[in-house]
Amino acid sequence: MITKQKNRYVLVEASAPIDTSDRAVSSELVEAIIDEIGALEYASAFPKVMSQLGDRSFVLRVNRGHESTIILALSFVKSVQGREMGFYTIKTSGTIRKLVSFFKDE
Amino acid sequence: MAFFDIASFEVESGLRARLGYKRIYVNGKDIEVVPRPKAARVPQIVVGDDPGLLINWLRDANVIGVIFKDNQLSKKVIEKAAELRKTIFVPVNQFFGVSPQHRGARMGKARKIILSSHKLSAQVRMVSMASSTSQLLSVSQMEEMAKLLCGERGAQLTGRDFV
Repeated sequence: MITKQKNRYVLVEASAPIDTSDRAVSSELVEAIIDEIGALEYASAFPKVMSQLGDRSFVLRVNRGHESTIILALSFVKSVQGREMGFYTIKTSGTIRKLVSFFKDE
Repeated sequence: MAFFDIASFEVESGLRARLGYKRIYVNGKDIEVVPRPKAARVPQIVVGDDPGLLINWLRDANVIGVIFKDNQLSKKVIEKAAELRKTIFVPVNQFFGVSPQHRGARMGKARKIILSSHKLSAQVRMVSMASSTSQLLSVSQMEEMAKLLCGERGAQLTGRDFV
């Protein structure tokens, strides 16, 4: 039986301002993640930038069960578009709404 | 559980809280990472690869632990650290900015240090030793890194204070 894929959402903060609403930036970030996890794991985890929160934070959607792989991969991504940048995973949740309210409370 | 880290610069309190740490010690201010112990008021961590010297330095009351230079494992040093209740520190920043092959080799050596420390009942802690904000890791990232290095026992590598 084919069931709906459930997602987890990760609130990520960059060490420098980043605009993930720019497609070139978000695709380069995903490319950097693929470099770390490989194409097969990418197909399982399927990370995707969902929304930009502030100038440094954004929400990343990941297939449920693969969030730890993405958290680890983001630890090793240290540059995007030639700029030195680190990524911190602040919180993981089952809904974007919870992450947005967490971000606003911060 | 409270989490602690060491960085080479002052991390602003908002970021520290978002990362999940209770305190991030500053190398050079709260803690000193030195090639040999010196008279100082702050706790020191010695970095070295000579087992004889490291064992001697561990006896110094100011020294709270050691970092194996280039991950050169010495079981005698780990045994002494366990006996004197000092900590073996594993810096995580060594895994950044290197080729995947070098990273893999360094992780393999770090894993051996961690497993030997567990076997000999020595306290071992992973610390970021970040020299810039891009090298900092959140608590969840540090925990995943610890699990990558030694599986479920990795949880013992991140929590609790070491000073």
